[in-house]
Amino acid sequence: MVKLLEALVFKTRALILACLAVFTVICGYSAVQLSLDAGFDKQLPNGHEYIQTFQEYREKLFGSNRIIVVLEAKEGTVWNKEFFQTYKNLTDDIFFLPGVARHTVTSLWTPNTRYLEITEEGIRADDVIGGNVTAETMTEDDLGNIENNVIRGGFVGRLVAEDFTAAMITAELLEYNPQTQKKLDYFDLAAKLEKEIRSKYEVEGGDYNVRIIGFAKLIGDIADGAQTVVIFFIAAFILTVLSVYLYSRSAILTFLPLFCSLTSLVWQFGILHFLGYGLDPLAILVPFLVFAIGVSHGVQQINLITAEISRGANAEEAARSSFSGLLIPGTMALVTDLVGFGTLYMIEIQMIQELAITASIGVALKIITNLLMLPILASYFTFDEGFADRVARAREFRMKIMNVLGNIANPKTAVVTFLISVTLFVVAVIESQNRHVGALHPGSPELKDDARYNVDSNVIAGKFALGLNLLTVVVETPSEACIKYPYMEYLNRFSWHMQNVDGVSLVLSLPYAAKNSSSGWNEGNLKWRALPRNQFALVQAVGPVPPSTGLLNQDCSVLSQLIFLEDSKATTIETAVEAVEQYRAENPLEGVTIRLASGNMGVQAAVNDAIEEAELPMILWVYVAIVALVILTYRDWRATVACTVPLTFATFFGYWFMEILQIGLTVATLPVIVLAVGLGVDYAFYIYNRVQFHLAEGFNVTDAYKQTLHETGMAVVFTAITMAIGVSTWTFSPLKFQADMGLLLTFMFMTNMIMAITTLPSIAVILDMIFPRKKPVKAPSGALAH
Amino acid sequence: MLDRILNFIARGPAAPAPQLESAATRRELAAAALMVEAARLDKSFDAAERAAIIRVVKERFSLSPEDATELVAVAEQAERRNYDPWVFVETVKRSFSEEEKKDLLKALWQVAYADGGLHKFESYLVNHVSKQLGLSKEDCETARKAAEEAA
Repeated sequence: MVKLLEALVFKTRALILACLAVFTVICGYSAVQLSLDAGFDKQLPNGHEYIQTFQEYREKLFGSNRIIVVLEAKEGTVWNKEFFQTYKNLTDDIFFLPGVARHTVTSLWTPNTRYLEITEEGIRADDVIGGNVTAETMTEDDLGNIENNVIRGGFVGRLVAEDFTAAMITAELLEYNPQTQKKLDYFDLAAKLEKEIRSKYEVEGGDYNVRIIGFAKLIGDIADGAQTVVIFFIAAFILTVLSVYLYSRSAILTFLPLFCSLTSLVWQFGILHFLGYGLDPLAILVPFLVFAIGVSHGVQQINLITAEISRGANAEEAARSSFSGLLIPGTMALVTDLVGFGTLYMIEIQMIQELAITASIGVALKIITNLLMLPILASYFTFDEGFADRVARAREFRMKIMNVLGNIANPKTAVVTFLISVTLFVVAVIESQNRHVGALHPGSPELKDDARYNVDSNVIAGKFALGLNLLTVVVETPSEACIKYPYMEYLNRFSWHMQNVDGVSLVLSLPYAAKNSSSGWNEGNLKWRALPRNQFALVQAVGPVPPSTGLLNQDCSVLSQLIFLEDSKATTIETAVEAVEQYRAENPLEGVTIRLASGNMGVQAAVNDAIEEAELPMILWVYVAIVALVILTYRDWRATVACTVPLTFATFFGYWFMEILQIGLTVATLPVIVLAVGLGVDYAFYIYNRVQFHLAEGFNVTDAYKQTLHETGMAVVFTAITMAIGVSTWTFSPLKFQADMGLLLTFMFMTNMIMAITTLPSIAVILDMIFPRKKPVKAPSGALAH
Repeated sequence: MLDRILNFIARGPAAPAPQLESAATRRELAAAALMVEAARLDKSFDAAERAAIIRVVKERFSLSPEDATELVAVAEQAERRNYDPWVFVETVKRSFSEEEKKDLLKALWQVAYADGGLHKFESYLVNHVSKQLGLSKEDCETARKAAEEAA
């Protein structure tokens, strides 16, 4: 079948190239229109219990897509007229930002910031900054009143820093503009936050710092950082050009794999735009990965073409030989990559599903560019004798390396190699038990610790009792539960339970507010700081707490608990969520449903859960694909074991590496692990394909492997090193997730290669020791070949 | 199981039954494949070179003309299927005596000279094979001179 296909392809090669050229032009036109695209909702795992709660209550409970802006005085406190003038202007500017839900803008200057006071006449409620006070005319007395109101209203640590050096403004964002129905442009908003807010109020030599946090700012910072991806792409591209040239010793053969890989990128971008997708900043590295995969397969092609030309073949003969020789392992490898990326679709997070589509399209296109277009293009070039001469000289050195490496397939060495691999694997399995899902560091895991966003997060977390890390637990109750003691007492105990969980910095709930209020009604006496059992007293205590606090709704059928966490580490979130689940399980109360979870930490918990749940099935599906392809092609159980076991080892080494470097399993690193399985098997396929072929020719397994190394071993080693060098430059990226991906990918490229050239042959040899072959071996065939 | 592993280590791996070259022994096939490789290197593997290889293998391995032709045909296939001559060199290295190796070297030079000239790639290959077989530079040069004179 392959021979037939080869004849057909090379007979119609001009036509094929012409069609591909037209397709490239069309895709190129579409590709230039592709733009970055991000959204908060895209990051949500929609099927998850927590997200269903979040979606149900997102209009009623805020705090998931919020921006927090803090004006911080460099010297002194906030209690001066100049600060309040600036604070007022800042509040106004934020009010008019696009996407801001204006009724949610909260600062000392907004009318929704009110304090309550129990006086001899009854309850007195008033704005913290009275309606008759303006920024221009405020006096020292006014400032004194405001300070008093802030303290008695309990705004210290909430809107004003605990050390009085900063004041906060918060606002919720609307994903869609209710008037125009247009989606919020997060990049535009992030740019405006920087230009119209920070640059305006935080000037060189000025009196104030402006701290901004929230998803909108974060995604903007990530997009800014992602701009540098172009620099890394260029660096990696130059490094790849140099190494491919060093390997191939031919400008033409250097040009071919790079040109074909870039062409498939153009197609990929074009098709994405056709399908209406954009490029998410968190997925911006995927095209580079796909490019790397392309180069990796391209190197295999030029390896064979070079071998053929140096042995006297002309360009067309060499290209034909390369086409038919690599069609099977290349297709197998790319289909596995495709399945690997495709499994990412199993995570019900739109952003990851888009990433799955983006990457799958890219890999599918590689089958055309690398396995078809590259050999066809190569057949049109001519190679001079000087080239063959250079190759011959280069081969001398490579053969020495391969001769040494080939010794791994000697029986004794194979046993030793296998034992070392198994020992390391056992250690890796044990060590990787401690690995974490989610972020392991405080602040945003996408950015480095010293990034402005994380510095701002730390300052805000240090000065305010509440930050951005909000876990909202929705408690559904019968209506009017807020004036029925058993329900309020139940919630009171729940709040206390949560208040004492490690990592929880503050709990806001209706019973807590009611207890304060009850004490207030009784001259602030601490003895009355309790929930009244009398319903009328409870009504009096609850009455002053409005639904706008988010602690209750109009008919008291939803009573929320706002739980603020110290940081967004996966362990902190997990501890809090487990504490809620524990309380829920141990203390059921009829008519009360405790629902997890809203707030950004609720969302994060759901994301972590979705990733953790999907990981195993995803990896298993990749393995199913590998096993199916291997069985289909080789019809040999030994091949299955020899290809998958080293891969499993490499995957666990990856987990171990993540544990050592404290890299958590996140939306960014999970694709790397899944992809690494797919990429790792590429090496195994290219090697095992030739081993099987030589076994079929009657060589023993040791000689079959040594011959394979001489044919394709150097290409495998070289590909891994080239790719590793390319992605290792990412380590210098300002984006932490990119740096983590770079480190992890570098490790996985190298480990998978080392496993393929050491553990794979050792397993093949050991299998032959234990289960000697009784029948002749079949050449790679099956449904995919001949 | 342990016995099997120990036996395997002591004896080395067994080769599965060959499928293609039933008419030719592995050592003869390896030698013929190396000659084909040498002939192909100058980009023109013509009838004269093929005839020279058939003649050489017929003489060296005492084969009938039919068997010699079949051996070369099989060797051509084997040479095309393998992207590197390592396995042929290795087979010769293991199964040929010192004299037979020198003899093969001479045969390789003869094939290289068969089209009337010596291409530098042909020269490179024979030198490489000589080195891999553990023969000295003098052995290689002696074999070349003998082949050149015969041509």
